[in-house]
Amino acid sequence: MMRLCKLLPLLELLMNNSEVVKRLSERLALSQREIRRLLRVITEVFKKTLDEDLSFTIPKFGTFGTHVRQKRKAYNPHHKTFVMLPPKRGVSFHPSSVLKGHIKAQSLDNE
Amino acid sequence: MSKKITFSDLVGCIADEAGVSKRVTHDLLKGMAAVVSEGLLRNGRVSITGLGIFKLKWRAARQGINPQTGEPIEIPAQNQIYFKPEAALRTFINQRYGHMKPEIIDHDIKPVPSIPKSKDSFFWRKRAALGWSAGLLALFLLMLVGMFSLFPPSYGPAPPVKETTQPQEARRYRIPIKVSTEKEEQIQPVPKPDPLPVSVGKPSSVHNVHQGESFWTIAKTIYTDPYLWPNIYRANLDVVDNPDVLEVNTTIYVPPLEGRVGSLSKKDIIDIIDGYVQVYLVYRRLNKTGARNYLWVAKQYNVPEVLEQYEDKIDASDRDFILRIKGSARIG
Repeated sequence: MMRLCKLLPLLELLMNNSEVVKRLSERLALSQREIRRLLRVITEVFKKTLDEDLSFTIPKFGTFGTHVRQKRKAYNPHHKTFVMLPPKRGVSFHPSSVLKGHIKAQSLDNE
Repeated sequence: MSKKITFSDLVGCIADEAGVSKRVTHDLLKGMAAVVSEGLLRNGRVSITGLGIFKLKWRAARQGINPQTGEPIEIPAQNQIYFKPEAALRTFINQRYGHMKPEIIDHDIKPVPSIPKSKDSFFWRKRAALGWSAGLLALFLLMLVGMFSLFPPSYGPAPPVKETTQPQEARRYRIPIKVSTEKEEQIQPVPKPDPLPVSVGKPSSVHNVHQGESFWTIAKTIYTDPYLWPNIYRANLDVVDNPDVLEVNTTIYVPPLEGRVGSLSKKDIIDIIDGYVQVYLVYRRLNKTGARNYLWVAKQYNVPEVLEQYEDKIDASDRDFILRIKGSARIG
């Protein structure tokens, strides 16, 4: 039964972009078209900010930032060769303690 | 850690770009955060185009330690928030490294002490496996010796046959199995200066065939890779006709490799492909099933020029077969 309860949220499909847009337009009393445009601008600005090695925080939500994974040696078992992989950047998201608290409280409730 | 910009700076930047007031932008960002949190609590998965997917991952309960007092703490099972950036975002972020490609390092270079652990551990594992198999082989040989001492050869089966024949079809693909009446220890080949008239000018080794040996085992002992056996067969076409039948005390020529297993030179690869095609041709002549598999392996080396030389000798159905079958072989 416990397992079934855990699976139930999966049955509802993920909240996709259009669902987010719908809710935001209800919340802010703006048209969905306008919200879509604004979201596009927001993600563009996020992208550029992250690309410039800057991190930023959205209050009560979390911090977005980037980290660099240095170049490293790897082994290709198929060709039996060692390969030097180039450095790579990743986007990190650290949820704020408020959001983490909500999630924790919910998972403890489910127990 | 990278530099940080404040939330109000971010709001100002977005407001300028979008041409709306800061208040609306502020509300929008806050609203976005609220909607994502709500979605995470309700559905556990929220996707935003251009940014990525936020989702919850279930973490089981585990034992932790209070770092100050050292006493164990029970950490309850809980959900953890996980953010996966979109592929487009990842490539955009990695533009500055976009021109860099993985470089192949020559693996002959000795590992420097500062090299990552994985390399060392790999060699360790290999060495351990070698020791393990050597132990097994020794045990097997001991058992054989014990058997022979219990049952002297005079009561045993008929005296060793002159020919090592293959009584049954090679079941395993690519591996011609040679079965002999008795097994003897494989003797390491003695490298000698080349007395045979062979076209290759390089120092070569000559091998005397012992009881129980096959091209497969010879390639395994000399080249360390048994799959290169067609290379030996190819050099001995005038001595050996059927690669499955190798007469005892035949002197065969083992051509040296320019490169080594794992990094074969171009000429080696061409020779090996030629060897596989020769094996295919002789098996086709002997009407052996599975002959076309050798042709398929020859194709896997990706040097089509060699196959084109034999175009008129290759059966049309076999050509269709190797073009139809996909997949890749383990190429040394």
